[in-house]
Amino acid sequence: MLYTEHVNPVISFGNYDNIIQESFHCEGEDMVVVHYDLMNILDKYPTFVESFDEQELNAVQETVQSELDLILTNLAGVPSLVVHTFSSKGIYVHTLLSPKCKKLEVSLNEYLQSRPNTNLNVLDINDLIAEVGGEASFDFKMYFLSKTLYTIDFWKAYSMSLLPLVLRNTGKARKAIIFDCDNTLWKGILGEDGETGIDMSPQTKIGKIFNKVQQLAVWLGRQGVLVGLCSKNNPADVDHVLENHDDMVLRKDDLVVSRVNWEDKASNLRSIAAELNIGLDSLVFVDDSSFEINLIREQLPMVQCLQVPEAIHDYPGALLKTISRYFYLTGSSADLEKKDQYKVQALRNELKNKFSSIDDYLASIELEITVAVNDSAHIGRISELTQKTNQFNLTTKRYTEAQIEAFMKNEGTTVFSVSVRDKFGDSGLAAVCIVEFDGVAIIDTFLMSCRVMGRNIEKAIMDVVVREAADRGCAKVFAKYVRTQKNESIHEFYDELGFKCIQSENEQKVYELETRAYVYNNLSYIKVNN
Amino acid sequence: MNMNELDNKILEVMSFVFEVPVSDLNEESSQDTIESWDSVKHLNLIVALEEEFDIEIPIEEVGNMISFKLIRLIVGDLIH
Repeated sequence: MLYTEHVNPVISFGNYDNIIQESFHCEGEDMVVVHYDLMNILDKYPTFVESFDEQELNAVQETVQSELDLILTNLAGVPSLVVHTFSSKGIYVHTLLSPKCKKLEVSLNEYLQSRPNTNLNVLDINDLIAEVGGEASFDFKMYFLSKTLYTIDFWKAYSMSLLPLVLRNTGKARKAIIFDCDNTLWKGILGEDGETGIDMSPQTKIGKIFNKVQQLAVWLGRQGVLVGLCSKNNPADVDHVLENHDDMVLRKDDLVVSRVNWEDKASNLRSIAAELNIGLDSLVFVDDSSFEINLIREQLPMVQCLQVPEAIHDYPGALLKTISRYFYLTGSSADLEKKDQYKVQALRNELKNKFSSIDDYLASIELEITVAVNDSAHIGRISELTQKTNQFNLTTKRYTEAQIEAFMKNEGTTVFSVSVRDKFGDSGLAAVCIVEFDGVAIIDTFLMSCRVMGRNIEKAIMDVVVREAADRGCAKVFAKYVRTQKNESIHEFYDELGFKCIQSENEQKVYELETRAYVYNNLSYIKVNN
Repeated sequence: MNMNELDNKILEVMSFVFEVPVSDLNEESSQDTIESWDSVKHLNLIVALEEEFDIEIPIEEVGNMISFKLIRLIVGDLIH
């Protein structure tokens, strides 16, 4: 199923009932999915689980927990680990009494959910069974033939539910959702029906549906998704609705970008992506019109489109399905702050036009960076940045929290995390540099969020890194640029800083710098706190 | 479905499941002649035949379908 979403995984399978053994041999895998099933576990016992006494139940519980511990320990180094919950659904279901297998399921799942592994993702298998349907999920013939309980349809749904995780790990999760207005955010056409003729009222049958969609849009915005409009309308009319219509849930404040005009939507989406500094493949576009949807599918196939369903009552459900599939919502605080930062970005751009030189401008905004070294409080955000950053990313290496933690603990490596602020606001943790010091300094990772690009912050960071290398007695600094589809704009980054290119192959360039020969940028307009 | 059509469809399924060209298969093909025919592939074969012919193969028959001729016999019965 993942192939249809342009994810082309290389998959290998372990042997039956060999989870622990296999878990010793998973080094180098990007993702490990553990299928550890309650049905198979209980299959080993000679009596039916419901006739177990307290002691026997505890014994099962303890065995599984200690096996889980071993598996999770062995797999701690794998970047991404998926273990599904234990389910009693195929064993014995009684909706009125609580069977023992259900109690076992609940307590094992509590244990699984509370494991501290930073690479662990717990997939709720009961939700999946509910989605596929109980009858369609289980194949008892195959169970008795080969102990494989679940159907192929079930596994198809299972693999699809891994999609958001895979997308996040490969930096392909969507970042923004752009709504049309007429018949998408409200029932009716503003230009024809007028402000009183459109309907998104929580009190009417049809309006309620659109009201719900607006609630979802607001929620997405609060989760850090960039929410915007792209509509053929008079901008003043839409503004008036956004500001004054009593039934609107979505307000101007919830939107980070807006293209309300009469230009074609493909051009508008291009300019939206440019303004937000994200790729077109980070967009989801929602519209009711077949014409617009087909236009975008044809001209911008990388944009994920959702057409408002004909059966309008299915609209909120379809939107939720798109959300759960293409976004990876963690609700982390950095995401929440980001939306404000994009709005501040618009203000900054405005101000930028008023200054004759960029240095004048930069000098006026009171830039300040704070460089933290191996700060474990930043692990989550650092990992997130390595996963998400595509444009200003010299080597585009994706790291999990567990890997970042390992870098910090290792004496030979240093993780610099850089927070940025200026007089408009706090951009938060926005740049990361991972350096290996081993006689020489080797820059493993150098990345910066696109939100803070264009302020020469990277030069100030390089000053800090080279100074650290000099202090540690490193005569040379080595660095690498690995070309991707998205980081073309920084291919001369190291050349500009005085590094010498010593090796250049198709997709990557290796650089060397004599530490002594480095010309420090010492930018007067960036205050550096170490 | 005539006999030839059935034969060809079964051979195609076997070719797909066991990852051998159709040209390498014939009436005499069996677990003894197809090297890749292991217990996991056998279950894949059952699932693929059920899907291809829209039939349910009874669990008692699963262990009997160990050659082309036996598969044809059992599948032929089930689709009639």
